[in-house]
Amino acid sequence: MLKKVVDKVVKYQSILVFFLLWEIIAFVGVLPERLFPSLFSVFGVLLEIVVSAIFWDNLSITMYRVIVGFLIAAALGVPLGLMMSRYNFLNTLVQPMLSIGYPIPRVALYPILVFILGIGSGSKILLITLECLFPIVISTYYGAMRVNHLFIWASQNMGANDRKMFWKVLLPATTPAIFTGLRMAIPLALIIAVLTEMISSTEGIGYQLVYLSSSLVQENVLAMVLLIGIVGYILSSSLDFIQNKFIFWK
Amino acid sequence: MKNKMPAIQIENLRKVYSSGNEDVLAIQDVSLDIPEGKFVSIVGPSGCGKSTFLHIVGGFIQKTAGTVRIRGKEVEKPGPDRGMMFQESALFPWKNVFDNVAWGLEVQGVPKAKRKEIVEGFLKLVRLWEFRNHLPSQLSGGMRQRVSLARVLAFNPDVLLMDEPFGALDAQTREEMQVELQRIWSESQKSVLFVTHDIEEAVFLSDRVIVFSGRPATITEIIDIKFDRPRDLSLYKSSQFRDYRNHIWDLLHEEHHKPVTSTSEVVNG
Ligand SMILES: Nc1ncnc2c1ncn2[C@@H]1O[C@H](COP(=O)(O)OP(=O)(O)O)[C@@H](O)[C@H]1O
Ligand SMILES: [Mg+2]
Repeated sequence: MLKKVVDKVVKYQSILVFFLLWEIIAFVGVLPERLFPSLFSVFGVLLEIVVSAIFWDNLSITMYRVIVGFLIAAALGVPLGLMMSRYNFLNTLVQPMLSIGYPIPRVALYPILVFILGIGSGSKILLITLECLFPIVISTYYGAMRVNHLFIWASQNMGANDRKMFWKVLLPATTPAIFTGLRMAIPLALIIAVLTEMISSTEGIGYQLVYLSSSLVQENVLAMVLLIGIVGYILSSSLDFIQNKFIFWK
Repeated sequence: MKNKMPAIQIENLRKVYSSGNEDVLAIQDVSLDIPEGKFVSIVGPSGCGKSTFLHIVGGFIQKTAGTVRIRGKEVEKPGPDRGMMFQESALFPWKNVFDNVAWGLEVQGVPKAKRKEIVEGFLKLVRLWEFRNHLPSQLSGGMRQRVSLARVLAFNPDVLLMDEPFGALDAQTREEMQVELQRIWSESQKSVLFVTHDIEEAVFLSDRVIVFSGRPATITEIIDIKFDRPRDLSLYKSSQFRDYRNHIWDLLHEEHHKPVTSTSEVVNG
């Protein structure tokens, strides 16, 4: 038990050190308190937010957008990446779009999406999906290209048709790379959700962040940012948990 | 008529690899027959085109010219009439031993109860039934190759294609596997095309040894090995075994001497 606690402290020592430094600066008071409020007051506000019903309403709306956008991206991106590794014409078709589309700040498209789909969840989910597609397709494709071709040959040898080979061999053989892509995508999904809610929304934790910052009380903003960080951490950890169930054989 | 037809029939097989702007001639006009129920080995120096040869017979890569027939039927793509054991383990690392062996049967629509019966039979044949729930990563190299063999036998191919299956094993395990393979083969009565660079392994196991030249692969000589079966490891010490071995050794090494002579001529001239 004690060992577990010690391990956790060692793992997150940089964060503890960061908090400690922050607290020292806030305590010494070299910088204005408005910029560097004590973490104790930040945590106080954080607790207030967490016990409020409005936060959970906003959080559930944001989570809905994050998870739906992310799942659509996974459902489209994984098969696309796998198929690109098998069918050359598809690869030649998609690769240029990836190289040109990747450096574009896709958030810039958001006003257009709002114009078409409105400020509700649709435009936000679409942007999240778009954002998540890139790491998922790219990781899946390169992972599938590196799959030991003997697995594919062996399955063909046993009489598997393309469909069976694709879902029963290529997909499981690529799961480690797929999860790498999903792990890169999940924080992006959260960031885009919060960002688009900050730009235009009447609900969601991004909206709540903007609303709280209009009060010009720094503690509110910091508490909210910290909360979003915790939410992101929980999302990534859940994905790790699922990953370990899937890739038990590695 | 049926008995006369060879299990594998290869005519004028030729393979050129075109990578970039360079063409590599890997196999040059090889013709050979593997009679039904016989164990035939190919020996040849490393890099001469043995794997290429088996991959073409397996239908995994395209030939440049020639024909390959399995029981009279021309090969175009991979299929379960030929059971291939690759040079490296091709077991699925995400499936346990049982599921690896069962997968080919599952793909071919064999019902579950029947599948279990067949898998159990072959895993017992290779003496690994107790390890059915292990993952491939939890097995030794020799055990993995035995699972591979069971997996191939399970879907009941007409012929077995084996590409240096024991190449990565230590000498002791290798000899055990040779005895084991002979036992399993004599029970299954399948035609085998076995590739190795180990002369003694080829002599010990085979009814017939085909010696390949260095690249591009051509047939240097075909040698019938006339030992009774079952053979045991003491055969290694017999003088007749050593005669076969030395003869094949000479054939493989004459090959190596040729370029050396020509180089020295150039130097002298
Ligand atoms: N995909 C390929 N592209 C080009 N050359 C290849 C390819 N595969 C094998 N070769 C070449 O063909 C020759 C025969 O290879 P291989 O059949 O693997 O030999 P072996 O199994 O006898 O060691 C080698 O010179 C090798 O470099
Ligand atoms: Mg080889």
